[in-house]
Amino acid sequence: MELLHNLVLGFGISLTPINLGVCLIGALVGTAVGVLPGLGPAATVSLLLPITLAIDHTTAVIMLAGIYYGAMYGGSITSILVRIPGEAASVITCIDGYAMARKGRAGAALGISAFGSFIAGIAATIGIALVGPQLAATALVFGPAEKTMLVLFGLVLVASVGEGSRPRAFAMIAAGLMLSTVGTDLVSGQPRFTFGSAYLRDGFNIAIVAMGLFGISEVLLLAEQAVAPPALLSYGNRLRDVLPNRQDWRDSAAPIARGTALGFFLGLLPGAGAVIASFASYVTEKRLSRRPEEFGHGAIAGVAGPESANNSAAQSSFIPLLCLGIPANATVGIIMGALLIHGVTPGPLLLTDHPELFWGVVTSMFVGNAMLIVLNVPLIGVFASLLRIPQAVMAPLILMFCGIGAYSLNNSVDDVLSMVAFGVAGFGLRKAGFDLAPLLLAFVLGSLFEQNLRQALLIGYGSPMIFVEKPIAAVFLAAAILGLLWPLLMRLAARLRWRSA
Amino acid sequence: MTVPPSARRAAAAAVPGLLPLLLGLFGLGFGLRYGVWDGAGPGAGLFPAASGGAMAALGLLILVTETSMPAPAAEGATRPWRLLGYVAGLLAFALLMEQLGAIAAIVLLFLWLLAVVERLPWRLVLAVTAGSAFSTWLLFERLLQVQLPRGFFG
Repeated sequence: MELLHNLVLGFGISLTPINLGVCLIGALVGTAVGVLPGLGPAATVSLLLPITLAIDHTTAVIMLAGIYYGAMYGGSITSILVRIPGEAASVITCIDGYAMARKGRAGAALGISAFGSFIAGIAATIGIALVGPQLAATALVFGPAEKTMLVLFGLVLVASVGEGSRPRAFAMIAAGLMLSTVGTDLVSGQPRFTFGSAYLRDGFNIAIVAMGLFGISEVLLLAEQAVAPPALLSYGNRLRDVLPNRQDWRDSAAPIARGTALGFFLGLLPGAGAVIASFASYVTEKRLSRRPEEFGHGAIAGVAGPESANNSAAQSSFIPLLCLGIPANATVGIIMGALLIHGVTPGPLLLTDHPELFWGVVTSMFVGNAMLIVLNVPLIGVFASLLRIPQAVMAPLILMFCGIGAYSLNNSVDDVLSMVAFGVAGFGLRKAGFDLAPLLLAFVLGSLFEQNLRQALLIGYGSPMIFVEKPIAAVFLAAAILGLLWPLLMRLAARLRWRSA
Repeated sequence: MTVPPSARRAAAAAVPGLLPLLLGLFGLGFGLRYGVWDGAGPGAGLFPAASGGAMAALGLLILVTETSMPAPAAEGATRPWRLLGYVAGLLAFALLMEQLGAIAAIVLLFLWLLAVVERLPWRLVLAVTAGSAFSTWLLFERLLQVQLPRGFFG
């Protein structure tokens, strides 16, 4: 009954004309950036962050969330038609999606990926509505010690599950934490790493860091690489061509269901998210298939499962953000930054302090997914035509948007220059093989981590034993240590198995 | 004296380890200076020192474990001059924005990037520049009521 009441409250917010409008804009922009190779949802959300300052916080999150899950829909279009993933979570769709397209079944692949994403999106949203309040209620008992260890566990997971080498990911986490300390210390009032600069006294704005690291560095990467416009495979132009037939549905029903469940679970884990969910779904479907030899040659299950999984994960990743205050990935981390800029701290108290935000965003996901399926299926041709926009035109547009957006935050050229510096640094780090997502997540969580760590140590009279004495904190600490040592344990187990064999 | 290619490659391979090592030592040093612990409890320098120390240790680990590995091959054709053109354009845009005004700075940025750096046809350059300047004014000034710098023309 309470759930029904909350859903009514949420729909009352998400169905207002302004929220319907921004949800539509978010979904369309998300699909467009999903289609465009290079420009990912993290870069786009960071680009639009300054714009959201001018609107209400619920409206802002509805739009930014729409971009994120919209990108999951759009990412499959390029994967299927040109074998270039528009978005990292659609990499795996290139394999069977493109193979289907080459066999003349591009329409069915596009259709099943859109319908699978829709079903997964709706199911995951129901999951958020059911699981979210329970999780938030549980997390209400968390004190500083528990919160410190929860953040630590989240950061260890981000570094363990993310792309690239673990030492590099942990180094980026340390860099993000250090970056978060720039500015005046809120407890002692002591300036840190400011070197006498008045600009640095307030620390770096999340929007500046995100736009630099993701927006500007992306443009610099695009500018450096000479990429020719891709050639599109034909998919037929009629609506009928993208509607899967009965056999397609029969082959896809179970993969969609499994992908949805798998994606929902993996989306909850920091660092895992949509990319890992899509890969895990593909591997699962191949293992469970009666005809595994078809995978790689146009198996529809290889499209339906991963596409459902990535959308489900994208949406369930809002649970740790809204209920625990822990962003699961870079895009959600930037959305957390938007909330913090608006003065809203995500976490267990969000549901009691800002129920309109939680339920407004959750119900907007029903609306957004419905908009996406209605628009996406008939408009695939329009979205695919975005691939014809020359990269040389896209890059200056993104730069201009970043520049004006950065200036508009505080009417300060210093913000623009900082963003350029972060952009150049981000470009250099990416070229050197560092993943920027752990850096950004650690930067976003840094002040929360430090504040709770210091409070916990004060409560424990300076003794770190408080993290072991509190049972929930001890569980998170044990999980973090396990996550840290997992690769070593796996290597040890493999060596023991090899010796016994 | 010329540097042998093998030494250059080794130096390039050491950068991903050296960078966090040096930055980490920098953070650790300043953290210690801010004070890790005061009489009442953890000091302002605890967190910078801890994160800096961790970063330095990880930098050292990367330096030891990864420097011996072969460097990955560069992907695709690279265009370093275009890259420099973009960075220069962006810096000039930031520095000229308040003097010339946002719209004039956008026009110059687009002319520089599209016509000089990317060498696109003039008709396309002018259309994209005009469209971008107008849509920025419409979105930021009119719709979002952001006070963009007007510069000399204000």
